[in-house]
Amino acid sequence: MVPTSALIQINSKCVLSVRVFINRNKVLKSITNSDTIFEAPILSNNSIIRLKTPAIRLHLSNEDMKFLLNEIRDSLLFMLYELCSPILEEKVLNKLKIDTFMDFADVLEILKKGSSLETRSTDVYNPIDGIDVHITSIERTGKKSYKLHFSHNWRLDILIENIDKLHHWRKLLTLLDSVQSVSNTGQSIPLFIPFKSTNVLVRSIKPLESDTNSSKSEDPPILIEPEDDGLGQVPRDEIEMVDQDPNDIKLDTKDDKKPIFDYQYKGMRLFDKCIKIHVLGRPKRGKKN
Amino acid sequence: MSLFLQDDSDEEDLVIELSNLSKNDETADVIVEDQPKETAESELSENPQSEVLGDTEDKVLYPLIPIDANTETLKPNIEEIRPVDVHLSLSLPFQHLILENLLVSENALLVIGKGLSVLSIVSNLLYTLSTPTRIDGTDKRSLVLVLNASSEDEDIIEEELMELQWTCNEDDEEGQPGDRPFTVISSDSFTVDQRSKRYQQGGIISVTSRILIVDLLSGIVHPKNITGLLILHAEKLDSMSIESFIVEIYRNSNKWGFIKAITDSAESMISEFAPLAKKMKDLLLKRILLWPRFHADISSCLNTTSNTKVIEIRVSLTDSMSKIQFGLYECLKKCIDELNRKNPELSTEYWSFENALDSNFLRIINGVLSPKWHRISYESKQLVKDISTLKKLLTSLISYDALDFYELIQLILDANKPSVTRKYSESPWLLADESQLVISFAKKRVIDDGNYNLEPLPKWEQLCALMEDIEHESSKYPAGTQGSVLILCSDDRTSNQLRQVIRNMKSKHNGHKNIMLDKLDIYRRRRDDMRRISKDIVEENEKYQNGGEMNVSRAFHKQEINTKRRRTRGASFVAAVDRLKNAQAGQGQDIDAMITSDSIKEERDRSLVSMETLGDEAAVKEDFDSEDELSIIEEKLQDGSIPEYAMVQNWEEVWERRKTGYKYVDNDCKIVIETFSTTSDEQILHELMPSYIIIYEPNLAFVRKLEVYKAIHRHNPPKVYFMYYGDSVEEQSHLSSIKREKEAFTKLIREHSNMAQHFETDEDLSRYKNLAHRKMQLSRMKNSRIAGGQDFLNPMTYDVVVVDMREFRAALPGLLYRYGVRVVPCMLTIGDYVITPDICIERKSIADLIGSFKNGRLDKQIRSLSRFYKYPTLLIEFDDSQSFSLEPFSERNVYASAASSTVHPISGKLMQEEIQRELSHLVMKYPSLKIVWSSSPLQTVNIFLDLKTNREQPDPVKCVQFGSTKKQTGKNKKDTESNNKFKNLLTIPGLSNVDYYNIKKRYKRYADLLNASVEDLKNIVTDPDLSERIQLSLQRQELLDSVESDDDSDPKTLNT
Repeated sequence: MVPTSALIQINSKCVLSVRVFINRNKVLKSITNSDTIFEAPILSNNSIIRLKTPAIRLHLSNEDMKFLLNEIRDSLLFMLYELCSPILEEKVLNKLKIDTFMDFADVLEILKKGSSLETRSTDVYNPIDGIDVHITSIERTGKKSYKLHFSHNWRLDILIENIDKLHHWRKLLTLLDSVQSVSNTGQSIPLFIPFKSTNVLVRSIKPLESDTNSSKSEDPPILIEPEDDGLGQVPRDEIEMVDQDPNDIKLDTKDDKKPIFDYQYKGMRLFDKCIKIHVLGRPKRGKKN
Repeated sequence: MSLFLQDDSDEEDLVIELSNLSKNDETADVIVEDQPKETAESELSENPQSEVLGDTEDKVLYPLIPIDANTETLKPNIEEIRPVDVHLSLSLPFQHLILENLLVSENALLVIGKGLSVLSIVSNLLYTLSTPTRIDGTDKRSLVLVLNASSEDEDIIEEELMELQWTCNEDDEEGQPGDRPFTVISSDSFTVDQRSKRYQQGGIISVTSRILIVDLLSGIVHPKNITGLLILHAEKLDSMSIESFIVEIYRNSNKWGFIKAITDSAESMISEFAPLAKKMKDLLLKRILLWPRFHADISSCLNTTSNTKVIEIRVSLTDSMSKIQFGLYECLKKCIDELNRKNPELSTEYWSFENALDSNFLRIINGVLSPKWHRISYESKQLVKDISTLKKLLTSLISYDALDFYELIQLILDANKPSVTRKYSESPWLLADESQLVISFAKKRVIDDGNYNLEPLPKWEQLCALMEDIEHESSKYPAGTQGSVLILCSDDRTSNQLRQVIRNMKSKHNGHKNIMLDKLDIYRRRRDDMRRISKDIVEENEKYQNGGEMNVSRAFHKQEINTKRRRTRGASFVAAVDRLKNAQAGQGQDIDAMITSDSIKEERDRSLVSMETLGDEAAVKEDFDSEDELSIIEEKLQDGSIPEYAMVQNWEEVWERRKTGYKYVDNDCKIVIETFSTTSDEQILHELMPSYIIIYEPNLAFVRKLEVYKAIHRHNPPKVYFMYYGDSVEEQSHLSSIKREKEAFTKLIREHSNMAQHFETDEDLSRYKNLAHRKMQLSRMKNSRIAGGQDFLNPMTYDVVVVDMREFRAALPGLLYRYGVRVVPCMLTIGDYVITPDICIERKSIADLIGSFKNGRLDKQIRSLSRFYKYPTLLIEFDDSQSFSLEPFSERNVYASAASSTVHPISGKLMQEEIQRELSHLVMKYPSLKIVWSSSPLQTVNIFLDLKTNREQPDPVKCVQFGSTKKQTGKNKKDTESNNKFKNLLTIPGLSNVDYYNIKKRYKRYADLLNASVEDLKNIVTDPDLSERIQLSLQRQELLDSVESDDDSDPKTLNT
């Protein structure tokens, strides 16, 4: 019964790895009665242990996982970018004692008041523009660990194991962010990959700029698309996951009846071993995994 | 350590507890006697158990299994027997079998093959064993302790237990007694109070052995409260270890609890004679369960999944590589042969080339040599070191790239150059002809006939081809249905190397060359830096010609670290110092001279490799700490003179931008490169559920883990590629590791089948045996003239030794306990062991001794010892496995600091003399100091017992008070003294209370006031006459005091 790990790209250089646990009790209320495979009294105990056949492992399908992680996008970003900001650190993180919790609306309110950025939102539950944080409360569970309760379509507990890590990531991300926001000159920032860490590469479809642009730059890709119904099916599925640009290019190349697209691999800075998600309830849908 | 440096309140509690301990013969016994009464009383009440434990806690959160004094109460009430359902998280039949076996066999030792998911079995076992008991209608939690678990083990167990909790019934949820909380108690997490609370709450607790032993001895947790012990990594334990001590204490007063031990390393067990019998004796176990991989149940379960085959990719070495490998093999052979020739009386048949690839080879050789280390020749020691160098070279040949390997060779050569500090010859292996082969081909791999060769590793190409295959294959499936790609290799260096390779795989013009050229560039820059530094040093050296040697080398050391920060490479670190020293006139520079930035650029142009990647990712990557990272980015930012980040006005924009990057990465786009590890790689395998697995280097444990994984995921098995170099070290060591494990199990099985069944009674426990022995010894010494030697004049008391809590890492307290001595753990400020009221002992192992000479701590310790005790004693303790001589230690110590390569043999002698000199200094300074030399902990025990015969027992309360509290009273005394003196001021005519207050406020201490001038006083009291009067009276007072103190001085010194 191990968790499933999922990878989220935060920006062009960093990926976040989260581990998703499924609380069986909460998700599947009725536990199917399975067969007893072994029965024995344990010494020093007056109980007879009945070992039951193992429950089948539960994990989220790729589709579900995608849905889940898109739903908590704003919350995750909030955790990465704002939770460790000086204001919240002083007024929330340090104030909270172990085993106490705080309403998250108050947290947002504190941030709203404390920051110099303006916001027009009047919503009490979501006073900050641009994001929908569905976190209801924050709880401190240990010296460095916090637990956030998330409730929207999904019901989740988001656990932060080590706030120091998050703190460091925030610094890194805001720095990267500020570089990106200001300079589009392509000034290269070295990517730091710690020597002792898991290495992660992300495969993406390589934009074949130089070759394709020269040959087929004038043809609008839309014209070609309907002609290619039969052949396009399989790659079309793939298109959904990639960006727009390679999409166009691929359609270009398909004209030659020979899809020449290539992959590229990119090393990523991995943020791992900090954020865990406990799934307590999933949205009601027809599908079952 | 930090755990025990708590605030005073904790200590006081302990002291009180300890004084209770010493008053009663055994508080434990008293508690036990109390129990039946209390339980009888409490049977009337609703919640019986909270009363039982109420001695120390007002309210117990959860009831525990009771402390049962008499076995009658153990008999369960038949009506209360109930079935408890446990849903397992193990899915394979053999795992169930192992678990069942473990559950039914009392006190079992499980020896399981490597990589057979031992931790999931452990977690399920823990969960099952901690099932609450129902007595008198209430559920009582059990307390199961896990010993010897590493922090990774703990993490995994914690998660598995959490998941198990989630699969169980509703009424076992959090907050209910059925809940089985998992707590980790390690050195820094809990105070004494918190610990005792945790123990009383019950559940599953993983506790550091050293803490548990102290807790057991000082009564924070009573053995009768503990349902059972589970010991992980049993192979690491022996009769001297704390765990075996704990087990003995536990068994002494708890006969019903379970003890279970688990190990997954059969090989490390068989190094001794009759390992199973010994382990069973050490940990008081009764049964052995052997589960090798070739066990019928396991193989039937794992072998059937042959529907998916592993694709083996056998890569052959390049010509140069196989030549180098041949050369290294020959050198290794010669070294081992030479070692055998030099030490015919020590060598065993194990010392052969066939076993050289065994990872334990050197450890076993050292195990034989080190007790005789002072007798073997300098050459032999050198040979042992060479063998380790050669082994390292062999592995780096196939894992390092050509340039790194060449650099390593260069480093070794440089370190072996004759220099001022080392007149002795080169390492013997460098004298062999084959070594030249190694060196020349290592060069050839980088530069051949003046051209860059820069040979890529053969596996790189295969890996790229594989990646392309995978790309192609996965494109057949619709997106999102395929899992990720997982690549496994042995270490972080390789992992980073592979990332580079894959990243550059698609660059059109020869990706590998690109990587190598980048590396070459970095190498050149680093080398230039080093040259510059070494030049600086030489200049500095010339400046301070006399006696500046030490200074310079230290200053140099600092610089060295600075420049090497990003390129720390294992053992070669300090060797680099030598290298730098000699870098000026190096002979191996011929290639280096060719590597210049121009030539690299030329090469780049020639091979059409663009510079674009340089400085992007490759530039800074290896070792850095987190602060470094931020500062470098900030630097970059400032370089570009980028305006402040406050351009954005509202949140919406901020979030919009942040959201753009956010994307869920589909599994099939994910490539994860992970290193083999004992625990975490298995976890990653299960979490990622990869569709493609590339095992870059062979690893036995991981192959097993994969087998298990495939058996579990039978319906969607991953495709596995297994890469290795044919006819190489890699292949051989993998095969030999399989063979060794099999042999180990065969040996264990044979022993098990021949093992005699062993029964013992309570009296057989070694403690009692030894105690009886001691009693006999005592009685022999009784004087028959006094009332015919009758007992009543000489009341039998326990021998007591007060031991500092920090000393429980050592084997000595455990041994003392086994010899029937009551060991009382205390926070001692002074000394480590107090054996009589007069004798206090400071124990030092040799390494400690040298260390504390260096930092001067020993002097301080002995000083305080001799202040409080009549016979301050320094115990210098050696180990069984070490030679009883100072020489090897002094030598070793130098090795430790010089990390590698050769040390002048005389330096050992020098060190030895230094130790002797320091010791004699100490004796001269403190004439009352006694020094005891002991060859092993066992001998120490005997010395202790001899010293204790016919002497009084120490008083723990007093021992604790010495030192710590004394200081406080001394300070208080001083305070009151200066207060009294201040009060004398009030007798001066004309000095008001306000003046007095002001003076006191200004001068906190009386001594300060004495030094004050009339002017200063004038500023405070404003009256010039008064200030003069004060001054006068102060002087008079001082005169008086000095006369008094002369009288006092004698008794005072006696008192302290």
